[in-house]
Amino acid sequence: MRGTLHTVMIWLRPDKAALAGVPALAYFLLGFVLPLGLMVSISFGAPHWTLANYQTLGNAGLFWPLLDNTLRTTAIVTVVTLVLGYPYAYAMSRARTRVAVLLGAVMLFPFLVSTVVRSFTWVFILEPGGVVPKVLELIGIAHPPVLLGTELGVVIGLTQVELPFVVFPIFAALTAVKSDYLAAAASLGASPPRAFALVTVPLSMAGVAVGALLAIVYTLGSYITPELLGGQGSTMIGQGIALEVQTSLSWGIASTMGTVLFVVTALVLIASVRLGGQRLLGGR
Amino acid sequence: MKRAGMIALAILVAGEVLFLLGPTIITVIISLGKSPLVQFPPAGFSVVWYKLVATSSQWTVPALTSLVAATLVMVIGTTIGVAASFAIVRSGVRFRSAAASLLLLPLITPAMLISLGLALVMTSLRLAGTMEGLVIAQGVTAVPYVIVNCSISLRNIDPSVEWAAQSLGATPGRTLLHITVPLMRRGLIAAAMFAFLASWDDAIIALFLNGPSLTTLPVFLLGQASQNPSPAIAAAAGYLSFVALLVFALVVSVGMGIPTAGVARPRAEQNGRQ
Repeated sequence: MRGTLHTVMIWLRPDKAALAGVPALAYFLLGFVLPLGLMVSISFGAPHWTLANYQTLGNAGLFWPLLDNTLRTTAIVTVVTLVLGYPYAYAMSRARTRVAVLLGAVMLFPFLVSTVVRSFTWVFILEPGGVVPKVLELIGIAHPPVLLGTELGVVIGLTQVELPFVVFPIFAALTAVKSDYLAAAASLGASPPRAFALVTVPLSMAGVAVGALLAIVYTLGSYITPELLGGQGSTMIGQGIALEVQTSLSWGIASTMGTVLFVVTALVLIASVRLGGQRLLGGR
Repeated sequence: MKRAGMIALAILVAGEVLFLLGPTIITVIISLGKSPLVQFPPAGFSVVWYKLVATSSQWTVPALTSLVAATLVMVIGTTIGVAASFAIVRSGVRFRSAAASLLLLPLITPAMLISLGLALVMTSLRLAGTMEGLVIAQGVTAVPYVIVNCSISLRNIDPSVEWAAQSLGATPGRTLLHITVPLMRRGLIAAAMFAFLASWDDAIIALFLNGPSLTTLPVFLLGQASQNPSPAIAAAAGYLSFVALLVFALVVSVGMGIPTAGVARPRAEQNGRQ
């Protein structure tokens, strides 16, 4: 036993500095790995190990719309944040320093105000008689769409919450595109739009991938924004988990939904590492 | 053609600025209203809702609970995270970069999952609804933020500065206190701020760990906002936005190097000369 330990110690080459990492590792194992492991094992009915929870959930009829809402909202929010975030990041990367810092600050500000506040400020604005419906009526839209309590409301709120996560990685990637590259493309006869499409866009794809990954993962598990801005037709899986815990006290079903969310999130992460490879995690 | 593109981009970006800041500005205006109903624009202005939020125990007790929890999370998270950053950057142990990536996993895991898992653990340990349970749980998400910020600034410190101090007779403890910590001050400030915010802003992990005698401000706000949106909530949002603005000013000034550029470098040189 001592011999084995000795071999391991030599192989790992620990030193005094390595000991400083032990508390964090222990915290990670007890505060992250153990709880998630417990969640998964409870979903399988530990200690009896059955699929009963999964059967109940699959037959309940309530779960499938929840999963459907979650995946659809995530897809819409990711596309919208990328469409809005790319031009913003591009403007930041091409603007004079002062303007760029200001644009970054504007993007960071809602990020620092708590998510609860960020989400419920939209309640005042989207509710019937709120600012947006009033403005829509002024423009001449006689019957403005219902915004609060719908999927559209959730998408608007989540887009604002996720936008910084998309803009900053794209901005970081775009600052690496030097103006020399564009000058080189121009000298070889490329028009500015062509140079943008053939030089700038491909070089910024790593940032787009990181931004999309963060938007997907955070939207999949969102709770606060859909809870405040959504309605019965737009319930997401995070809300389902909270409902099971808080009102039905059904830890088994909550853990089962949690495990499904965990698997979907893990699949997204694994797929992104496969697609983006080293660039995403280890790349600089 | 090129000009038209630039104008279109400027209009789009201006629209997004409005989208990002508009809701907060409108909420602050609503919070300054007189009427107990949400009105925009308000019929008359007053600070009555700010006074109410600052004096009623309904609001001050959760605010104090959040302040205590966030301070504890900041201290514990920063201590553990800074130590881990040293192990990641300075040790020769194998798999340290793999371990570092593992330790960052809580950042890309939906908070609802961490919350559910920790609620299961804390309930069986009978720590649900206690300050200890809450702080331990929120610390799980605080440590990775500290590691990200501190390992970057630690990596930028030239170890030869520390060797110089030690060769001149400074003990390792003295070197850490007088050389390394001042040099990594920017990273430390950012790390502590993120660790604080990991608790102060959290409504999801706290959601299952709050108890009858323990309610944090975000969870209280969430309950109020879904039951009866009122100008009082808008006033609370006004306070929180103001705090965010202060924190933000601190970060921008630190990030742009206004206070530290003039202070940190000469001091490091002085210490080097001792």
